[in-house]
Amino acid sequence: MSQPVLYEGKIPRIGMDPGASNEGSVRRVMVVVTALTPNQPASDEQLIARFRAGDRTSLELLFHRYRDTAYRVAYRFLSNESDALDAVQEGFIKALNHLDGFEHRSSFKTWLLRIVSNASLDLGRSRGRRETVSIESVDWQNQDAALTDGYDPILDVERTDLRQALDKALGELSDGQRRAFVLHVDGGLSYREVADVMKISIGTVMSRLFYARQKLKGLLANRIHI
Amino acid sequence: MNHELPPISDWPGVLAGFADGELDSDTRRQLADWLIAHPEALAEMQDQESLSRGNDALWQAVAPPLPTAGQWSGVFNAIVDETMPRPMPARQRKNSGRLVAMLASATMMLAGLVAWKLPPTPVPTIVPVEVVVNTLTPEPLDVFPVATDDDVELIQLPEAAARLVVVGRHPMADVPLLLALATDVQLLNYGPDESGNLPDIEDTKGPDVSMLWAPSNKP
Repeated sequence: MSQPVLYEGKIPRIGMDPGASNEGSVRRVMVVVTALTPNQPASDEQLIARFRAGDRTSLELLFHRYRDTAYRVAYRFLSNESDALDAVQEGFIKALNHLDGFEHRSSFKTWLLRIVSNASLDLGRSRGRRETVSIESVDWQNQDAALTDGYDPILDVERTDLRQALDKALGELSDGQRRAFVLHVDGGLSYREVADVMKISIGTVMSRLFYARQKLKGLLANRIHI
Repeated sequence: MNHELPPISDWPGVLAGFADGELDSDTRRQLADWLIAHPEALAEMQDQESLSRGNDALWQAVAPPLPTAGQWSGVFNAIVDETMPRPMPARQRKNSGRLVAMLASATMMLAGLVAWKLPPTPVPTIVPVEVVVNTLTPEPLDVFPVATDDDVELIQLPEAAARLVVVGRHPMADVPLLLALATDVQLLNYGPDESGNLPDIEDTKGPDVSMLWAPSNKP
């Protein structure tokens, strides 16, 4: 999906031309806009600057840019659609209301996902992780074929079962392993960015991801080919 | 070839980094060589790859259920409420509007008195502002003259400027178009349109609020 394009520019002067004839009381105004970067989406920094100046459109663009990623991360921690949306909402509000604390050493995405993941963990603790499915209750028939070479579309119910099984398995990881795994896989953050978010070294990120996958494989290997 | 790397049991994270493509080229080459010499570690390597973010089939199959447009809209509105400057309360706006209306009435009465004493003047006509597009600058700029189609009468269109003219709806269809920040604009004057309607300027507090307006129905 293509990103919406936002133009900005300078408008010289609009309104009555002091040197013009006074005949008639109205001048229709045409506006000349200089497009600084045509066909190029505004950067996060530009959108944030305009948002801080009160521009709602910039907020909307920023929201559209990161809402899906933020939601995937939150969902993976909370296993519940409504809770995940709450965490996304809280994360955006906190991130935007505390932009003064946003050090531009990292990207806005990294900053946002740090807050969303914290909000998700807090929400999860306060509400209790919703155990909506038992790993034993999942119907694993045909799941093997779904994840082997030549992937075929699978029914919604099978996808739901598989997703719930992964959510359940993720719940078995330590907080640190799960956070590193979710931020990297669902948040799309690099090891460096995960390290920044979690304030740990890249070596620790690597190690946590390794052990997270080993555990996940142990929890899921008898059921699906991974 | 470096076979002196520690065993994988002491060096597990490197396998994760390899599976995720996060290693620099030197380390990657070293590990590839090491794996050739230690094929027993290949199974662990494959485990890491199968649960890496590159496994599209897996992550498509376990993607969370998507929120509806209505749910997203609710979330966005809540974010706007909590982060954007609030508009002036309705009562205050009403008072401002009343003041403007009183001033407008007084102005019209005065204008009426003056008109009664003076000979009739021609009906006001609209004189469009001329937009000059300079295509001869050393570094030509992309320029968008923006107007509604009935605001524009093309009298002459030099070929060099043809690509610069936009008439009617702006080219990004349904995407709002931010023209400039308030600091980029100097409003010199405004007045009633040909029907005597005053512009209805939205009274908001932010420094870069919308400055576009539509004629009010109230004269």
